[in-house]
Amino acid sequence: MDVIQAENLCKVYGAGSTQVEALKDVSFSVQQGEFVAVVGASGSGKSTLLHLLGGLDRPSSGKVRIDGEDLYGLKEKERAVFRRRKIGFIFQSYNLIPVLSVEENIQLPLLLDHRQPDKAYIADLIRTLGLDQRRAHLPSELSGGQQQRVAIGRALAYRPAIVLADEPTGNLDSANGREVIELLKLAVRQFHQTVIVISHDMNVAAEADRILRMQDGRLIEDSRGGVRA
Amino acid sequence: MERIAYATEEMARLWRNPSVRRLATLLFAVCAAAVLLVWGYIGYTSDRLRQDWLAQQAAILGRLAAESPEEAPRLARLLAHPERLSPEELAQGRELAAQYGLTEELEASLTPIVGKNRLRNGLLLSGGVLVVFGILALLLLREYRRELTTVRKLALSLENAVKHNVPMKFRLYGEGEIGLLANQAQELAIRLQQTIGQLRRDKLFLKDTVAEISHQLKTPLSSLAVYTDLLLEGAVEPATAREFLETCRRQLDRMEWLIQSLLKIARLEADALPLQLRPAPLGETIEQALDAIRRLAEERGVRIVLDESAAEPVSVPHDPRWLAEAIANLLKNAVEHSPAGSGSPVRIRLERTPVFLRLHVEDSGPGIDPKHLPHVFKKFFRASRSGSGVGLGLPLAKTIAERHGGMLTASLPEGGGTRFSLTLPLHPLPSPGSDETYESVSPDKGEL
Amino acid sequence: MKGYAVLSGRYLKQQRRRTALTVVGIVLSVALISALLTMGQALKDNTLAKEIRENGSFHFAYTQPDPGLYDRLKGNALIGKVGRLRSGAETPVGETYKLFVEQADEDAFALLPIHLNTGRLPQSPDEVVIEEWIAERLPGHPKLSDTVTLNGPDGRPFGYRLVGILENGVSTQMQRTSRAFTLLTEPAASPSAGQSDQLFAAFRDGVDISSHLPEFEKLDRPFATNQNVLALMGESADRNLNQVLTIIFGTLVGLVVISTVAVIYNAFHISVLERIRQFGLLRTIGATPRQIRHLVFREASTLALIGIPLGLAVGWGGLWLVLWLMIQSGFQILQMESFHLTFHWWIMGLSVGVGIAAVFAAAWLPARKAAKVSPVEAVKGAGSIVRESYRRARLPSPLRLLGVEGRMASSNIRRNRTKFRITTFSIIVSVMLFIVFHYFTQETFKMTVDQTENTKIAFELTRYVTLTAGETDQNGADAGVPDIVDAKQRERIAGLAGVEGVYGRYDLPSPSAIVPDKLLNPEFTRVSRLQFPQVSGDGKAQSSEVPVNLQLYDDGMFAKAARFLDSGTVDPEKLEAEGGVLLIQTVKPYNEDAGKKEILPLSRYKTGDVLTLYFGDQPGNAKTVRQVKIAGILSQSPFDSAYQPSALTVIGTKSTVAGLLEAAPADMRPFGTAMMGLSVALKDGADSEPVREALEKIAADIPGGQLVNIVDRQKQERQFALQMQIFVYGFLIVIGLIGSLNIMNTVQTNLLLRRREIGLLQAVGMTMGQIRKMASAEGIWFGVIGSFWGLLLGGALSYFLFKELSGIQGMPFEFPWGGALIACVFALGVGLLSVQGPLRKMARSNLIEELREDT
Repeated sequence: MDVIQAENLCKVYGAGSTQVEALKDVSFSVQQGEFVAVVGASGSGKSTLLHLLGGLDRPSSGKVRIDGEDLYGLKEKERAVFRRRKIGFIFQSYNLIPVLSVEENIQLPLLLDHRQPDKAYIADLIRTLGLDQRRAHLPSELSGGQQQRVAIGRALAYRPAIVLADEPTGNLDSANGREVIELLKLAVRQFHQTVIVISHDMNVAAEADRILRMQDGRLIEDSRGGVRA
Repeated sequence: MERIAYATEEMARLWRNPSVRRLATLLFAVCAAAVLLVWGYIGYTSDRLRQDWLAQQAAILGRLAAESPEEAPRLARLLAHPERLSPEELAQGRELAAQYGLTEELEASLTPIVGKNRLRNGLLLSGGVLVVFGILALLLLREYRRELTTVRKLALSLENAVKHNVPMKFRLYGEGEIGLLANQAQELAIRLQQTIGQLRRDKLFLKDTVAEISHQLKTPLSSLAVYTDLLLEGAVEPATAREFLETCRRQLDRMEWLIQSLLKIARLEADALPLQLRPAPLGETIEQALDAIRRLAEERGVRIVLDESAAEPVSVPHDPRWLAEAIANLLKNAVEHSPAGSGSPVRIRLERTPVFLRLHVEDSGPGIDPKHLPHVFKKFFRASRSGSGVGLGLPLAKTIAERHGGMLTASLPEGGGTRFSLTLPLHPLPSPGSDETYESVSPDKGEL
Repeated sequence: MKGYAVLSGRYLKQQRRRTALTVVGIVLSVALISALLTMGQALKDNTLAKEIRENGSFHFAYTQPDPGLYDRLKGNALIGKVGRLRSGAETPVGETYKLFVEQADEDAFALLPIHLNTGRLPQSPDEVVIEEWIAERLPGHPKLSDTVTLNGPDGRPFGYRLVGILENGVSTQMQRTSRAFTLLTEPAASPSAGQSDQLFAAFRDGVDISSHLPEFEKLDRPFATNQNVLALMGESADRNLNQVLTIIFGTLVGLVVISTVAVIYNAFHISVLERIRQFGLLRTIGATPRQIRHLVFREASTLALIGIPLGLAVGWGGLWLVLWLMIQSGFQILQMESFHLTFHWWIMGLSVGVGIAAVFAAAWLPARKAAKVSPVEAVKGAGSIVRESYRRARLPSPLRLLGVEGRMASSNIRRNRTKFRITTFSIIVSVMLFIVFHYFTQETFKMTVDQTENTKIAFELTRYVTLTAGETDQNGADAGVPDIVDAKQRERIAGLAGVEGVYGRYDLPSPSAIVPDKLLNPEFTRVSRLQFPQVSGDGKAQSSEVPVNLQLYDDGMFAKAARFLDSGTVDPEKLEAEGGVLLIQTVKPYNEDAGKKEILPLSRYKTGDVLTLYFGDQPGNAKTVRQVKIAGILSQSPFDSAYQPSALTVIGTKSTVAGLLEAAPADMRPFGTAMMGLSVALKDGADSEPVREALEKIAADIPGGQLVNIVDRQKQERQFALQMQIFVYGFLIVIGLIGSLNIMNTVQTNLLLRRREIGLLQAVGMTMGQIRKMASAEGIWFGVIGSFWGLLLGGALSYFLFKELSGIQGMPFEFPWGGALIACVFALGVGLLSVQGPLRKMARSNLIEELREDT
């Protein structure tokens, strides 16, 4: 089943002499349960693509369908609620709320939806992520690897259908990075989620089921199968 | 205190519904308008009342002025300063008034001022109330209709989605109760699709498995048939017959091993065998695996070395029997691909991160050909003929690892050889809920 | 965590310092508003009470009514009380004093300003109440319950029983005529021949006074209203005063509100800007714009919830504290016997309402801005680079002159127009607030407080001199008139403990001045509608005959005049030498058209001009004409009335005046330059009793001498002035605080937001000193621009206030240079200082930490 469908996505920034075409006519679709890596050089449009897939930015033209829903046909508020329930984000710079503890950061999407978090589930999640000793700590008291794990926890809290990760290992050393990717893979399998990861690290790409290669805003390669088993 | 908190939560929840907000605005607006109108009206009607009363008193004064001019100013003064009158005077006056029928029992219709006032008030106020309520009713009705239409649309869309197994056409993303219901309905429809898809895949998987089994069995079966036929024919010497029988025995063994492995994998992959994940010391499990492989290693003259990291006592949730089998398979593979002699042993190494426990089995053999690497966990894949077994050991190990909530990867380390890494979470990911749709045959035994 | 809304509380806690500053800002503003309004209302209430006390509580009166009017009024539905007052016959007391026994009925006692000291009011026509000071002078020094023989209404002596002592009146003492009261019982319809009762009437409660006054005016003439009381109640026929007061206070409160809104808006805006990435992040997680707005508003609510009640408490409590302190130190609050600080619900409600409205108005825009954040912006990284548009030509900033630091400062400012505008806006508002308040308080001070030396004069030695015809000395003065005290006694008096100064009083004739028309101010003629008689003095230019108030100052008095010197000199030696005089040409006539008084110059003389004076009515007679040189010009008189209604004032030394008097006919100047009276001024806080005793003794020795005791009055006047100053400066300090808070908050956060940028500059190679110079340049530029606009707007608003104040009393517009200077210097200073703190903090922090992206 197609969880994500991108149809003729284009994104143009600026106007006139300073115009930049970040994406040119990108189309693809992703099945449920796939672990997709998007690779390419800087400025190839990977981040822009991710932002469009997540409903963070508006495409200049083209459509994005998630679970069959035209993302940009929704109103801003509806898109926010959609994002809350269906999409999880992980960023290179962790982007945790500095005034909330680990546990609170993870629960945040649920609270925004006015749901009472399943305490047992969250506790389990925190233990799996190896953050049990730190659950009441603030992000400023955590290491980079720990912070990214909190971000993963937050992305998994609501068990969204899609997880979008923008250079999740960019600020981490190789051991932590590997851990992050393995956690994502496990999560995909366990919760039947779909993950799209942007990375310039070929090791990360090697872990993926499928690799989309971008260059100058175009999708130039869509290969299956990892290099590693 | 808790009651208040609870009450405020209830209020907040109600307020999140757009319909409640609209209703509140509506009621507030109507209420405000009504109050304003009533105020205005009261002002107007008391003004009229005052005018009428003054008119009446003026008329009385006029008549009195004409008939007894000296009395008129006194009456005027009294009217001007009624506070100067005393209660005794009131009592006296009432007696006098009673003689003329001016008591409290006098009908309102006979006192023109009051009568007019009452009539006016009654008519206009009732009329006003009717109008206001009428408008209110219309607006309320409109609100309700709006809500109910949404519910209806959702219901129809859900029905359609269930019937035809397609995504819902009408969807809603919002906060509030209807939004919640819509969300659950939408998720239900999606889940339904996924489940049906999963069922289809399971059917396919079953078909494939059966096909695989039959395919794999075809060869030994035909072999068996040939040899049995030959023996039945009787034209075989006892020595050859013995050979034939041994071959048959071997084929039978092979078939048994095949079927068992395949079924094991099938059951594991189909999630039909729940593993008993209990925190247990990994060291013992490793020992178990080593026991199983000791004989083979001795035969081949390959040493198996436990790294000091593996000597540390570490506990991880796992099913020892199954994990031992997986580790044994890895060790078997490593031993079979290692050169003899104690110079290049098979190493078992443990690596621990805050989240995972990784068990590395490294051999210093020739290493897997990189172009074979992606396929090494595929069933029946054999990179070389140097191993026994049917090529199910690694896939089985991988499935066992995945059922433990972990994974198995193969890589080529810098120093040569092959490394298999079994990654286990120190605490398994929480299950999304009961996914068991099959009854397990026998939870404790890995047999048919 | 109960819900995501907890975020707002956490954010506030994280930004403890800024939160505290903002709360302090709210507290100060609400306190100021409630204190202003409470003070204003209390002033009005108490002034009204005082006015009623002095003038009575009646609303209107008829001085010669028709006989039947009393009955008509009594019976009228609108009228509450009607009192009758019948004047009586004169009773001489001693040689100099007189007493009139007046008859008043019950209502009249209630409506008229008759105040008992001890005893009770008369309840029968046999009883009487008299003033304390006359009681002492009556034969037998009567006490309560004694019998006093006074002339009754029919002119014949009658023995009244004394049942009560009234308070001393000032004018009755000065005029040596006292009033005593007894009960009027005769019905109104039968007054004795030739007498008519005066009627005083008051409306009932709830009656709209101003709309009903005209119909009562028509009833009878002459008709009079209790002007001052009605004006204070806002019911006078002339609604001008009330309207003006409302506008003025409304403007001031409005200004404070704007300042509050500015403070809170700044704090919020910057706090939101700081967290813009966080809000974007929340949006990526799926927060709706509404939820983000909700967060910001929740923060605002929390701040309001803490700040507003505290503000009310501080405002109310602060006032109470100040007043209590004043009472403890023996002051009477603003000349009023008992000053009550009444708690008005409407003021509290208004302050709360305004506070809430201000907080939410201030939070609205930032909330919207936070909600509108595009999630991508937040995710992309720290801040986007604003490209300069090359379309508009830009004026080169003078900052560029300061070298590379200046150029960077100028570019920084240019790049971030919004932040620049926010910062300067707050500076502008602060400066404006200060200037306007300063102007307003100074002008009100001038208007309400008597700034002449009269406030210090506590005792007047006067005497009653009968002229014996005949003897004149060579000055033409009556030789038999000595100074009231000789020089030695004068020295003694001046040496008494507590005496600040001793000034002579002289009885001088009034000459006229021949003022050329071209030196006359045409405005004066227009406003006062006075036409001076034309005079052909020199035969050449047209001139007018202007009355002159001639004054003689002794040395001490000239020293006091220095304060008001506009040009020239007040040195008595110089004046003696040149034979020069001081001139006061600013006058305060009544403007018929506008219905108020105005201050403006009558003529346009300059120092060094020659003034032509003459005595009598023959301007052409050379014998009566004298010319004097104007050696100095004063802006107002340091003694007695600050301004004459329509006369010039000429002040000279003894010899100069003596010379002038020679020109006067003898009968105009019977006393010459003899000192006729002595004013004794006391120091602040001096004990008046010993002085009084000493002066009493001296007065007893002077034939016809009398000591007028105005100590209490004087003390009140001085205290009034002092208290006004305390309140004024108190308010100004609070406003200064608010303004400084504002500026500090804005400038500091402005800098803190650019931490990364400054880290970058350091990495590139800028030293801390250069950075400090750059930041200081920016700070100064903020201050300059802010001061400039603040000055402009402050001046404009001051002018507006001036227009309103002129509605009460005309005066010239003086630009508030003093206040403006203070404000500007302060703004620059605060701006500069507040830059130093964060810079020092930044200097100490780790460079690499700064460069890393903030979460």
